[in-house]
Amino acid sequence: MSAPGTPVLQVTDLDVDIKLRRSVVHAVRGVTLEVAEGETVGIVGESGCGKSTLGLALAGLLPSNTALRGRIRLGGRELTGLGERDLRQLRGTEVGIVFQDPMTSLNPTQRIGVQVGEALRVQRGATSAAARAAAAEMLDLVGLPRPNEQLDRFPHELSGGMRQRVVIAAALICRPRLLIADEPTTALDVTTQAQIMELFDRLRQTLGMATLLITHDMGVVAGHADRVFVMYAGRGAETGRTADIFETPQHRYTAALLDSVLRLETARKSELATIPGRPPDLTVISAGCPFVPRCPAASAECSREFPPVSGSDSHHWCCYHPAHQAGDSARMTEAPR
Amino acid sequence: MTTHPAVPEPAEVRQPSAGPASPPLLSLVNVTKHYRGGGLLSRSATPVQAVSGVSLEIAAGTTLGIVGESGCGKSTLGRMVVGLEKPNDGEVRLRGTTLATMSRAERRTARYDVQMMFQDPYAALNPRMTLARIIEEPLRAKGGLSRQQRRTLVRRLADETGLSVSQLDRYPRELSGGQRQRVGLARALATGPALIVADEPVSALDVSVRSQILNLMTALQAEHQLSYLMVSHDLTVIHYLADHIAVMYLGVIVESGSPGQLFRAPAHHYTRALIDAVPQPSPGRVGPISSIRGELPSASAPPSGCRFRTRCPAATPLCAEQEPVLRDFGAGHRAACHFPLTEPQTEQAAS
Repeated sequence: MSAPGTPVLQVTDLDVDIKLRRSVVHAVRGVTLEVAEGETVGIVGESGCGKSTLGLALAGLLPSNTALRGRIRLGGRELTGLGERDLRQLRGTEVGIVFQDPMTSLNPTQRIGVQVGEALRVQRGATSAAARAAAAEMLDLVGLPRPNEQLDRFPHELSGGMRQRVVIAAALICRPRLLIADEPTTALDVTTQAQIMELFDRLRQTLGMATLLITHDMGVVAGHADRVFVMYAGRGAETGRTADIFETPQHRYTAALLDSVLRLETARKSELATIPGRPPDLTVISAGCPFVPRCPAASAECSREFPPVSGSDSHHWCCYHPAHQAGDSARMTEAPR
Repeated sequence: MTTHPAVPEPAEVRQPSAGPASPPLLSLVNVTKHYRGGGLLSRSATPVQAVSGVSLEIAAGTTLGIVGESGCGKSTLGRMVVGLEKPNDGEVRLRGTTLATMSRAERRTARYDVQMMFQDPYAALNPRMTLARIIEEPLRAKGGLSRQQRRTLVRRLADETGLSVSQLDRYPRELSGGQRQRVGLARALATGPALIVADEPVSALDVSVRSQILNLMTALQAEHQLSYLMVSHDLTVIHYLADHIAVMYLGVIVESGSPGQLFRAPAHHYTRALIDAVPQPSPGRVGPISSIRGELPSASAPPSGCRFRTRCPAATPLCAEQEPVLRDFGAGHRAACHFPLTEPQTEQAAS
């Protein structure tokens, strides 16, 4: 077993291209990212910035019209280049996935116990009885009341929040090293959302898995991620510890994103900060920083070449005109967690 | 008109000083809506109480925010206001006239006076129509304008909602979510309504676009003295736009008041729980907490007494026996709770 803090997931220079009939979407470009055991990394950005494609790539769920370059290592094992059979094995046991809408992840015609225990039977060769017992235990762990009664129910008999708990139980039944949660609470009500996020925090402490939390909700990230990875136009724009990202965002995109978040403290009916325009067309590769057309600080050099990585190991960004320059260096030299 | 008209007074300030003063733009009086229960194949039809005994008012130029979890009846309420659903009991009144007793001509006028804006503008826009045609559609239905007049008006509406004239020949699929919501607003504005019912108008949008649409809604309200009935589960959105807020739980209003009253000193435990559950985009702060457990009970068999008692941290046996009535907490702030978080003004039930 790896020591605490060692990276479970290592992504290096990952590119994902999606081939369409007449064009190629460069959905992910040069992404480098690590997630340690027991750590939660939040992936944020607007829709169309590549965050879900990144999640699918890491889960080995990309459709056949995609091309992947770069390296993905999970628990020290190289994933890129694995065949479909190995990938399927891996999905069931090493990587767990939770999507936004629990109804699309669950089979409406199958009993809950069968679905939660499926990976154990199929991947680990467990007997039906053993899988059923493990499923009951897992349902209890995710907070389903009277787990033994729930095993024989169907998904439609449960509420949205309870269904999402079932999906989480199924994703974690083989105790994966990595959990990918793509907008896991977006379809849920606020009180249920708070309950599910508390559940993720508790499971992470109990099971110690690494978690990638893909979301557009900065509030969820602030409360539940250790580190944040900000994506724009398929690239990593900025990454750092959650407090650094929220308190001293450096990339102009991160700063603009945080400024436009509506808060309870926002003055009522006041003019809200917005980001003009929209994310770029990812079929076109621009030479410089892709945020230039929407950036308040863009200069001529920004359009010439993609900005190099600046900052420290624990907090770095790709921007020629960082939002908080001198004075924040003390924070940046603190030892990484 | 000045570019920055005064912010409209909060709704509660305008509440009925009984007498010949003009009636509120919209009022709901004891409105109840239930649906036949059970599934298609089920015979045991316990009716589902979507809305029971709700009374509300919206003054001209103000926003009423309705907040609550899914299944609390907030969308049904919105649909009754635009006339998509008829209440089983109670009255929906537009400028004092009950919708159900209106003459044909009156009903026609009322239809153009109240318009709707949906959460998913893509599902609400005809994919085979150009934007110009979509925005023009309600004007054609209303009649009375020449083709040229309609065209001029469509261009003005596009301009007002931040769409470029060149986009008018496009189709909905060519637009981003934010642009589609602008089209939804332009279409809702076409007939010159006094009230727009906005059901989760920004919840499907990215944060940056959400701010753009909220800015636009605020500007249009000031410009046209528009009223909004804003239905949302998002407290930050409701806090930002609403002048008066009603919190719904299982078909009833449990608390209502101004944003200041509800957010600074909520009286109902459910309101408190909703506020606590809002994820705050500031790390290190006491994060969102689920101060209530469990989930919304079934609307076909709501708990006896106080409907919230099964999830309430302060519930006692009294809460199961007696349904709390809305009591006055001062200056238009009301809540229905036996053990409120703040003291009511008088022990008398507010009617």
